[in-house]
Amino acid sequence: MVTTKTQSPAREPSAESQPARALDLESLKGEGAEPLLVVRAGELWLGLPAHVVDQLHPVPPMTPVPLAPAHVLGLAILRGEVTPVLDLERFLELEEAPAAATQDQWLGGAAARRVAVISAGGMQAGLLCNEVRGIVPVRAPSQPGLKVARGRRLEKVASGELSTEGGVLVVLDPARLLDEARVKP
Amino acid sequence: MTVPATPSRPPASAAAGGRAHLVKTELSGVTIGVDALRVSAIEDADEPGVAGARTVDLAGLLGLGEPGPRPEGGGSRRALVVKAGGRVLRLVIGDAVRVEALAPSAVRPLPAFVDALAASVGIGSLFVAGDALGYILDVDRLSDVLATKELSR
Repeated sequence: MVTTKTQSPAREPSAESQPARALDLESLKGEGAEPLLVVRAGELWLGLPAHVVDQLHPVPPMTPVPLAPAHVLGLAILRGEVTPVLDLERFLELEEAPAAATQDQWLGGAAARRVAVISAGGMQAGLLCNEVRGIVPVRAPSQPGLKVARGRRLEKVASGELSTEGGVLVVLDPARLLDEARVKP
Repeated sequence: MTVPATPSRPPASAAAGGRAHLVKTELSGVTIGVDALRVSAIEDADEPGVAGARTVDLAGLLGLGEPGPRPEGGGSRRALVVKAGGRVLRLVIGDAVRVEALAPSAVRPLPAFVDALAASVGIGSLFVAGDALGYILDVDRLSDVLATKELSR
């Protein structure tokens, strides 16, 4: 009798979680366009209003913050300013090993990671992203409500979603993001 | 909910315009400084110390692990003796302590994103030295934190 070793089936992406590399930036453009910084955290593409973005940096050395939650990676000195840095993937609970790790390898790996420094709600912080695609004039979301973000931590900090044939872009509310992620007493 | 920012307080000597002198120690790779003007003594943590003093394991309070094993060759952990909130605190740290001057420009306020550190563990401000960064403990705030914890027991 011949036995065949079967492999576990590869994880098939759902309609809501297309592989990150499939996102077509051109399909995001349209009427009522708002410039968004398009970044990736885990397998999800996210958009941040461009006007809140101050700087982009390679991943800097960081000093740990006492008693901070795991998503707060530490404090960094960026352009002479002390800047807290948070792991967007971890905070939004988008970690999905090993698929995300495979995506990272395909898309350039750790070298592609960047810290996007944003200012909103009276705070400034750096967001560690797996990848930064750039500033894109993104059309307004055509459907109300959240689909991908619903029921997840992401829902608290998302302001809208855009679905395209190539994937989903979740637009973040930066002030709510920083307020939710900040170190609490 | 937006938490109002807690004003940072630099060391007294820096606030007066002079150079601050910090008593610095390392805890799990993180540098903690205390205004030298507030430190009345540095003593052996394993000695009984001043009667009535409250002993605080600083590494444990800050979640930075143990202060470190006793070094070989006879070294011992140190305790910084400070007076705050009407009482004497003995802050147990590692064995390595150094006193360094710090320019006022090196003292920075806590970023709003982490300013809860003041209310939770008494960290009042930061200091920057080149690419390195450390935390300055406000002993008055720390005393308030400890008193609050005692009341909530």
